Amino acid sequence: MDDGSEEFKMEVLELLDRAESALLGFDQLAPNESSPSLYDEVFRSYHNIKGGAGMMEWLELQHHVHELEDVLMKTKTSSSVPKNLIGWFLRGHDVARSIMAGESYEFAYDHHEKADVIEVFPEEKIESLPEEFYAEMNDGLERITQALMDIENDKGDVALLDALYRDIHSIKGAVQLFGLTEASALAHAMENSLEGIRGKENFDMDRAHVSTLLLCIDLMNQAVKRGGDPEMLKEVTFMASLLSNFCEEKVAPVTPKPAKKEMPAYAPQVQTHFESEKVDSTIRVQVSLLDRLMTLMGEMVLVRNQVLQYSNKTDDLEFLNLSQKLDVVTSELQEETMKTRMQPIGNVLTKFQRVVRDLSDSLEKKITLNLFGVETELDKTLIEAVKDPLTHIVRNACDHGIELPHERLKAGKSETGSITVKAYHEGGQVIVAISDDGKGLSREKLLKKALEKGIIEASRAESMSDREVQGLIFAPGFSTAEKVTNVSGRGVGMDVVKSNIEKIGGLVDISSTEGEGTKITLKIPLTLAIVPAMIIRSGADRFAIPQVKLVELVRVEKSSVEFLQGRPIYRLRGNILPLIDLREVLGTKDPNQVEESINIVVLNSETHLFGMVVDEILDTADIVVKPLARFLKHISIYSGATVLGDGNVAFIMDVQGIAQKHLGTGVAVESAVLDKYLMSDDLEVREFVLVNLGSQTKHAIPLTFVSRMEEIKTSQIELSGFQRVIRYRGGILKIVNLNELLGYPKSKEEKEITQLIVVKAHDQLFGLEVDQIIDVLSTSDLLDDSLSTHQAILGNLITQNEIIVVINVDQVYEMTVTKKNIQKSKTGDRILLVEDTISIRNTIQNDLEINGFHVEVASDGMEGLRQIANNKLQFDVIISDIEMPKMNGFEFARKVRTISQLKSTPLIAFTTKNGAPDVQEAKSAGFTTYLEKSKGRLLSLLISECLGTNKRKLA
Amino acid sequence: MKTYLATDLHDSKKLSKQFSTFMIDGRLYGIDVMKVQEVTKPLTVTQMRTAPSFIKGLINLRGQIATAIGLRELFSLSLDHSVEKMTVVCRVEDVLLSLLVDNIGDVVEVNDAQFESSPQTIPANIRAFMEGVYKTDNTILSIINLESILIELDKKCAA
Repeated sequence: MDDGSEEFKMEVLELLDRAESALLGFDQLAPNESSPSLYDEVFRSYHNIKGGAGMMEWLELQHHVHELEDVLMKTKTSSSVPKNLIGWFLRGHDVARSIMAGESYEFAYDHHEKADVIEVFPEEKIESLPEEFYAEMNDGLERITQALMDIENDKGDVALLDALYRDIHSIKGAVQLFGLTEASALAHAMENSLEGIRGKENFDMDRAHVSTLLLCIDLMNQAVKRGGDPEMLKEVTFMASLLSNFCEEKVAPVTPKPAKKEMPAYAPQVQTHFESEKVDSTIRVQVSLLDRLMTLMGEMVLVRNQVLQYSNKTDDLEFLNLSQKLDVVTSELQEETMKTRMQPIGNVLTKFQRVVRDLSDSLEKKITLNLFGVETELDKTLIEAVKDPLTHIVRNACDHGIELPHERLKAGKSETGSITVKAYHEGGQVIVAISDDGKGLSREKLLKKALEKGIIEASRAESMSDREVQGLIFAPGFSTAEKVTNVSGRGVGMDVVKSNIEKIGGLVDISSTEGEGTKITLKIPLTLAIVPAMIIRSGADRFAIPQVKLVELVRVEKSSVEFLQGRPIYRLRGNILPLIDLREVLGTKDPNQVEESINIVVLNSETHLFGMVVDEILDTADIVVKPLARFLKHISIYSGATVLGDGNVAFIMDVQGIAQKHLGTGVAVESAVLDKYLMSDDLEVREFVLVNLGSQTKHAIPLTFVSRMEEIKTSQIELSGFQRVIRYRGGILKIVNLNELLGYPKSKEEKEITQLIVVKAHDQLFGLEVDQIIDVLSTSDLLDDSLSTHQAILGNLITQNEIIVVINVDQVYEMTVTKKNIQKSKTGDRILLVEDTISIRNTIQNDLEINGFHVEVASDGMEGLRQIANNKLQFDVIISDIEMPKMNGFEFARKVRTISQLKSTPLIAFTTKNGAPDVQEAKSAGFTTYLEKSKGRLLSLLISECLGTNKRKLA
Repeated sequence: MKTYLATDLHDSKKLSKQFSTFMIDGRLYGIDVMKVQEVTKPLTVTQMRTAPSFIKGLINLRGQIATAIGLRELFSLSLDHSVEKMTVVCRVEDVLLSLLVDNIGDVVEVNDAQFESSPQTIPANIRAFMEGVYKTDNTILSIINLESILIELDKKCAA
């Protein structure tokens, strides 16, 4: 029975939630406005809980819910819930939860003093019903009983069923006439339950259905006599819900049904007749099963990758087609599988309506809660994890944020305060922003409190920025409430919120304007199961380091490593960074190994900032975290494992564990140093990447623009038109040579490797090629813009010993990246570009547009043909990929050539397939010429050539 | 491997048990067949540095990660690299273990009458992992208790 009771508990909680949201639905309506659907939702929930509790012999719960139900029944006729009772019901739910949790509770069942608005049940004078009516009823019910019996014995007799239906219908009419609401509802339900089988030649009536109808007849007898009895109404409602089962697809009958040769399928027809209880088309699935699915999905992705890799080596077109299909299907499957664990954040957010409602009552404030983006989805485990922190923040906003009505009026605000919770996706994360229009945080109060509690030194208080001061609210042991209320300030402070959010790899931020309100922003990863990580190598081993632990990557000369008490350290921009050699951690130190420069991964554990020396930094990857067997947890330098792209397993480093094991607690970095790193967006200190260019002066790029720094092989640089680009993270990255742009001499030596600073401006990534990346400079020196010699230069930084030129990244963007807008459409020749890879399509389109062509695009052959039709065949050149979904390039070309107006239009095959048979097939399919994708830069040229030839030919 | 007719199984269900058998250092061991997920050739192992020697590392078993355990090392037996190794993958208390053994034997069916608790002569380093022995016609089958292996692994790793 144990398992059953657990399940029942879950069910009760769910039912309570449902009832609760329905009650809150009433709260949104006008006073005493009726809503049968909401009312039924509440009623059904109570009734089911009561029934279940009775079955589980949970008498206390049964009794309690019975009381709730009783009160609810009083407003059955109006299908409404008086506003002043909503709170009472909600408290009743809490009590129900307490009962289940075995906690003690107090509850005033006596709600009557509040129930002044309850509508009085319209009492019909039942005594005065005419004798004829009773007689007619009796006859009718007897006939129905008889008909039911006959139907059971003589199945499929349509005439009997029709008679039955008629009798029920006339009873319904009669009881309605005399205002017997319950009886009428019951008759209606009976009638409805027959709809499904009526008009069927060979109808089949469940034994259970018949039994239920018989019970209904008994009930009807009573209903006629005892109309107006609330208990009766409950019975009827319950019976109706039983009957509704027979309106839907057959549920398992109470008694086993003999097998029937012919089963008329009547379910679909029925549903249109009967607006039944909303049935969630969902099923419960074990989370472990979902995890298993995710695992297998990961495996499938690996196999897919291997197939794709293999397909690059083969010329078998059929196979290529198939592998591409596999690629598409796998990607989609992966996406959908990921979704199975996702739940809308609304599951948590909507609960806050209740929280805010209760709080505004007890605090005597007027607060409205606005929710946006409740449909935003994130991983189920994360939803669980953010629930408490979010609740705390919302409570805080009610308690400390929103002022009392009279204070608000005095401050010139409306009496009602508002709290807005917005959830949305941004950059692979979910952002939840909770803002209120309350009194905001007071700098003075915060500082005073922090000084009192000894969180900061008096000397520091003055120099702290507003942002830093507001950050104090997250300090352990901080609470700004002047008095500790029962609402918030119960020892669970914002520091717990912060640490809980950080535990799941999220971030918390606060911004507040005194007098105007506070906004707290949570950044939460989409899922715990997949985390972005950096893959590094040490010896023969590869490891994953979670990106959240990663501060920066530094490559330094071995000679610049110093030793302090025998321990290696590195001076990183003036601060001492303790170093840990990963080879030492792993015990794979090779004494013969000599290296000139070393890679340092700067890591941030909760207590330490330290550098880990690794052999090589390989790549970034989104990894699926797999737990280790529990006995391996003793080996504290690993936090998990993951399967890499090549199918091998790699360990995930436990940064915290390594720090504790190898740095102990003694070498803890001063928190001020940590802060400096973590609060890099502090306005007064600005950070720049220092670079060498073909000029004597050092140049600086503001760090806020910098997305990454990369070293690339010059051989990786390709030309797209005249634009130098590299393939970068599945897209194409434009490269701007700063020397060229600023008019400096280009470095003469042909380098194999060049350094790129990937910057982001106007939401677009592009690469700045520099001669050398020197360092990162953080300075509070002011920028002198009096001597700006070039529009791409922002000004000069004058430091103690040198002058540094600061690049204006925005301007660089304007000058180079948006060129296409400047010289658009010169030739006006119309080109159709058919290509399925979005990044390639976009880049080619850009380049062609820069070169003055008008470009229409299509993602496959089918769409290409559609474009041709849409553009009334007006294309001067058509460029098409070969490998494409739906319709490949060959087929596309053949189709194009069947259109007489396009018989001689230049048709360029643009593809990676360059084997002789492919070229041959392309020719025979009707392509004019053939260009490998690797020679993309020739495309414009080729087009011009084609156009020239074509025009000459036409002339 | 032998196959059994359903009737065979049915008749002997109450009395007999089936064990996957394998050899280590010339001795025959067995694991409850229901707990064995599969038997494979050794897969690529990712070494776990700083772990005790009996932990060979992790393997990717179609997306599931199993911990590879060297039974010779765990039993403190001498290492012999000449024998062809095989792995027995078993699941115990949600932990996937891949046990490295010398070679694989048949699935053996024994009945309760043949059972005896581990004799005192079995060295302590092995007895800790054993449930008991079954005397078969031509040999003695030592039964490995996977739960004890987990407990011992936990103890040894913590040390």
